[in-house]
Amino acid sequence: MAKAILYDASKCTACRACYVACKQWNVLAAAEVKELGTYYNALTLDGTTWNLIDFIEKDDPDRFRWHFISHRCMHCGDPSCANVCAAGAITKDSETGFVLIDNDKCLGCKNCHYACPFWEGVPRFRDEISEAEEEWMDHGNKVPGKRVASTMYKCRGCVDRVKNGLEPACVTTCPPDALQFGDKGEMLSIANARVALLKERGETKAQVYDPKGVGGTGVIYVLLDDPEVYGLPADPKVSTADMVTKWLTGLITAGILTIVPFWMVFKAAEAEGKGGE
Amino acid sequence: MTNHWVDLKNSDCIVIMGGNAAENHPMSFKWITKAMEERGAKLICVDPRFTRSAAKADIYAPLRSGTDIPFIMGMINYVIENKKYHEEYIKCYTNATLLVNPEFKMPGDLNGLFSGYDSTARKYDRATWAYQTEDLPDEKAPGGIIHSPKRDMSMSDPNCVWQILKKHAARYTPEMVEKICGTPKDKFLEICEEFSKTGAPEKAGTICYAMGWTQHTVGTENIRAFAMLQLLLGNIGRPGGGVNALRGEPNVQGSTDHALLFHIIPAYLAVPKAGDTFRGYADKYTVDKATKDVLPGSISWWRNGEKYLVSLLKEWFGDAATADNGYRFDWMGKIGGGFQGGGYSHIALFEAMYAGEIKGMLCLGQNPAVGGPNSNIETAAMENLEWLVDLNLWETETNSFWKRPGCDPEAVQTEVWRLPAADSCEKDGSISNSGRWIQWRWKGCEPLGDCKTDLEITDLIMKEVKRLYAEEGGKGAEIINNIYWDYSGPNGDPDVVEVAKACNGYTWPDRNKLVKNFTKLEKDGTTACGNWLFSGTFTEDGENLMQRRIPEAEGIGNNLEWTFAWPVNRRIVYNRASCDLEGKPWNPDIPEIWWDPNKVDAQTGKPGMWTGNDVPDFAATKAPSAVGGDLPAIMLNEGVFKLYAPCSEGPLPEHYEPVESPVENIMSGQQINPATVLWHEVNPDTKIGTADEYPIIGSTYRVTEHWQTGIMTRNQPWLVDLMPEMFVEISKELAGEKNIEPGETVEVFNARGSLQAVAIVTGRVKPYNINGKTVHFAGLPWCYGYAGFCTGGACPTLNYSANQLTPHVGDANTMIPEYKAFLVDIRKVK
Amino acid sequence: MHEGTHYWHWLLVAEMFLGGLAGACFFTGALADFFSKGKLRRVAKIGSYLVLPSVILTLVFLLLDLPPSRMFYFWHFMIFKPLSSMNQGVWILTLFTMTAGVLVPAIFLAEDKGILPFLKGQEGLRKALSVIGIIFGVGTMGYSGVVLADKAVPLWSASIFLPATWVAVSIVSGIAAIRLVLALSSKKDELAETVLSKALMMALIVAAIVIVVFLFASGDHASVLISGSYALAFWLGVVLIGIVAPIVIDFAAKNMATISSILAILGVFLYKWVILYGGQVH
Repeated sequence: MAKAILYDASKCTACRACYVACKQWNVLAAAEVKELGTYYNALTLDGTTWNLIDFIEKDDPDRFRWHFISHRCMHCGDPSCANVCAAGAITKDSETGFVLIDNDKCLGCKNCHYACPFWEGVPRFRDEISEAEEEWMDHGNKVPGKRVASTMYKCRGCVDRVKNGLEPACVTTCPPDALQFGDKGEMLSIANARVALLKERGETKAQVYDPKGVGGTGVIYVLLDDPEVYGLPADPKVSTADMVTKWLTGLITAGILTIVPFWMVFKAAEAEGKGGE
Repeated sequence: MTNHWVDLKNSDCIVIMGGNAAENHPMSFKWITKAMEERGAKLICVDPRFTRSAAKADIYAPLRSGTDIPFIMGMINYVIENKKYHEEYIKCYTNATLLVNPEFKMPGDLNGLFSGYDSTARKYDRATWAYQTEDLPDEKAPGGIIHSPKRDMSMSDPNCVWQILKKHAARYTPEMVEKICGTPKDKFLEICEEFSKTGAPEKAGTICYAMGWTQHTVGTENIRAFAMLQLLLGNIGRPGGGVNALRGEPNVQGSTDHALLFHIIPAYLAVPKAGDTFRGYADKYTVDKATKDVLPGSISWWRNGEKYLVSLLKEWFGDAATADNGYRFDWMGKIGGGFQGGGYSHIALFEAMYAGEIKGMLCLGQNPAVGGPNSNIETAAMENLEWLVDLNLWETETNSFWKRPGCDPEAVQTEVWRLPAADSCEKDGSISNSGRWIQWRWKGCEPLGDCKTDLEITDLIMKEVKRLYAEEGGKGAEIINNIYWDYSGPNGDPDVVEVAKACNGYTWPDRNKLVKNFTKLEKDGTTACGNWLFSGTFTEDGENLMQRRIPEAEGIGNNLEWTFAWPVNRRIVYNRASCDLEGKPWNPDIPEIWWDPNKVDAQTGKPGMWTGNDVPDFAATKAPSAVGGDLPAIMLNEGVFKLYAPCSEGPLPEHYEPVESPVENIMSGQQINPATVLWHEVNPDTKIGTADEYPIIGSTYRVTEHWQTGIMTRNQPWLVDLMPEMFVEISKELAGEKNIEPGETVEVFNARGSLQAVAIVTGRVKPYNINGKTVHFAGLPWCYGYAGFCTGGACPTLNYSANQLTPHVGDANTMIPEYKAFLVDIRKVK
Repeated sequence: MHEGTHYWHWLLVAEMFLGGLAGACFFTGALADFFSKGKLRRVAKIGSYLVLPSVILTLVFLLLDLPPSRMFYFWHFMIFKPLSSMNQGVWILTLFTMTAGVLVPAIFLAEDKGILPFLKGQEGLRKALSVIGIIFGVGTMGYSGVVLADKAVPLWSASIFLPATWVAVSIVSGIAAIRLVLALSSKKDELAETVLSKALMMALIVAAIVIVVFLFASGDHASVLISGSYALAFWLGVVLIGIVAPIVIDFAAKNMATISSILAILGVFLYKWVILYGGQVH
């Protein structure tokens, strides 16, 4: 049965222990950032940053809000990144539903990055493998996460932990239990119950985010406001959904051009050429 | 904490004020969230700026830093005026009914002062603050007489505490609160209404506070004010209630229990003063506590103090301590008045060091060059040291103070030794959390290289000192030679388990039988105990109860089989107050303890015992109907909780402005706490600025991502990612006035120093309207400095420590520095 | 709010431009041959000769666009995964290269230069291969448009018409390239030049219409081109230099084939450039 991580934005206190837990478990190097006058300090998802918390200030008419949201791979039910990958390097794990990149197969073409509808493209490119990672792999930690330089990286759902009966590292560490992990059905019912409770407490815009357009997600959000407020697409689609139609516009255009100008002018050339003979 | 972390889940309303639980105590939110989810609890946050705690709150209200007393006194006034208090509780369980000296005068009468003030000494004579007493016969009391406070159960006597409090609180109207605090009146009243709902007998509300309340010149009174509010609402001793100080370090509770502070010796016994004799000191516990201010039947537990003192002295001096020589009380260190009569607190010590009166410093577990107030003065003071020994894991600002920006290392003559210390993960031992749970931890790995644990280092120093005295003699050699020092484990190395057992206590002179708990300690020298509150951490059979990890299957969250909590594994202190006069829980849904008339006491065979989900904080067989069976405050002479309690600056909280404040005190003509030591009058280099020069309120605080002075976290690249540089949080309005762009580097400065910081321009900080005047706020994290992997900024010749700006002035009782409210100004860096 | 990543850059523009050019050259040439019943055989030959160099450059740029340590694992792409437009492109490009880039030019060369005699006179085979080449030529022009269009980047994917513009502008570049070669050639061909200049003008108009449709269908997402950070490049580079100028030049003067062809080719390159870069502006 598909698993899901539930991130409850209404419970998250933005302590960012998830960020550190992820870096630690996955042997990921620190980013290089500069204070830019915000709490997120221009952190972005990248080859060594697989989750982060964003801070959003919003002056609602009735009250000031400071929203927190976890940027991370959503582990789509129908993952666009896997669909577009020309090397077949991205697959959906049948046991957990996690979307995994096989870095041995990946060529670093970044196609998946642009296909992802979330967080400005979740899979990110990384040029180098750190010494710590080399050492880690030397200890036999190659399956399922072999690190290859110049390939794409993103959250793996700690599939190695999950398959050994643990929760993903970020979930285990979360102090206010804003992150939970389990079967998707169970997570959905927890999320729905939470939203009902939040509505009772006056959070009229509380909602579950599990967009159908990408086949549902393996990361479910409980949000306190509309998805756009958090930088989430309201209705994301599998990016390859309209591929055939898009091809057709190209083919039709080729057809049109076959007639205008080619058939018109070349046919005329045949006549002109005849006249010339 | 009177309660504990897990118990937060039992609350109906949680106030976060004077603290920032979400950011600095993230784990608290596991339980706060549970209370909100499962009990529908409301979360209220009051803070000078909109924090991550505020982000989770149902109601947020801003308040100007340093004005907590008017806010809480305003709440008290609301509760009294609207009769939201828990009447039976305050009548029976507090000193509301007790009568005070008719000569007593209040700030309303004396323009901000209480009666008995001496303006030259800046001290109060407390004579007029005392209770009216009557002598009553009491068979248990030494001499058979107790001096009992007079009591008026109708609470109508104009000199009773209730009437005094009513009169005092009436000055703090919602309008006054708005004018002083800058909190909009409607928000203030919304909070009053919500929190006062916990005055219903079956409801309980709690407060989570931290350094936002303590670090003021009126810090003690801030906490007392809320404790009073909690008493009025009947929230003390109750599951989901209490007054809960969230400790800022994992083991700060443990270090306080073991006498980190200068005014106590282990387990909160008073520190002996010069001239004290054994008998005189012991009698203050046995006679004073048993006879003075005592209501009939009051347990007044401190009357056992002599047992704890004697057992402690046995632990320290062993066989050398006998009844004949006063257990060698004379060998104990004793305090005098301290430098300039200012005591031995952090500020006083550094003032003394600045004046050249301290030769050497052994510094461990702290980094005063970053954490101390007015740090430019404090680091300059260190130059006067002949030697400095610093135990740390890293090169810190303190152990490299001679390399600080602006200092010429060649001019510094101090000899500095750095002793490499072990991390907490590299050693076994106990760690006491805010809820007094003493939890055993096991080392995860061996210390690196030559690093040693604090115990090993202490042991090595002690043994070497003893060797030198044994061989060479010297002043006080007899004391050193007789200090009992044997904490070796099986392999001869110092063993932390042996130290823990010594704290638990054991019989003397056989030294092989552990005592069950502190009720078994004796004053005749037959027991030794290093810390009576830790007594009971081992069973008599030697089982280490601190190692227990059994979560409760059912219960109210007290988890009695998870580790050990002092005292005697009690999770909620003063829990007699969780029951009504008859011993039935105020809230039957979350029963803490109750009186069971049928339960038979195994020792006496008589029926009738206190029982329940916690260890009763009361005499186990004392029936509610017995004399004193309704006096829950067993650690206080009165046996009732104090709404009225003499402190340095008065028996009731009164608003005084911070020493550096942008406005005048509109409550009275008394601008600042009249009992605070003014160090700038002693040392002109310790400057205090004025609002004309520096009109903006500055305040310091921590961030989740860095820990204390940042020594552990600024050397951790992942955490540096999250908070890479020193910043200052300011409002959009102030940024507009000063033409500051978000992300721009600015200079924050005042009379004491200046530093550079990146401007965070945010809607989370708003200007306050203080009695018609616009007042701005600048928030500064205090975790940066000039040493380590991350200093807080790019420039290697700058010091990014916010404490360069904080003043050398402290609370009148505890002397904790006023880190939370001072004056600064801001300008763009050209 | 966050800085966006900007992975794809001019190497990919070059690859998409050259691929489109290759497809369009063959497409133009082959159709010219078919519709003119062999009268424009020279156009067809030039078109087919241009395929292989363009394709080789395309592949070079494609490889260069991969990280150096990964480029020699390019065979990882040689799997069969029809849902991936990039994988489709790999096979389309392969088959197009084999037919239009190698076999058809080989037959022409056999005819003209006498090499590979066994291919000489294989008219039936050439026609059959040309039909296949035309089909894969369209594929070659279109696939890189689809590669962009099946992404989550709004400018590329919000409307369905990006591949349509890709085919249209590619054909512009194909016509212009053949015309340029003819113009630079010492052996003049009046008929071909007349026909191609007409074709170019009409193709430019069709392309302009398709682009307009694309921009309208993209709605707000097109604002980066209309008024945003790529507006100057779009209006000046694509519209004025790439579309208006060639039409005006050809309309106003004869013998300006070289200039107008170069401008048209430049416009196509710039169009693909502004789309690729404009899409990555956050």
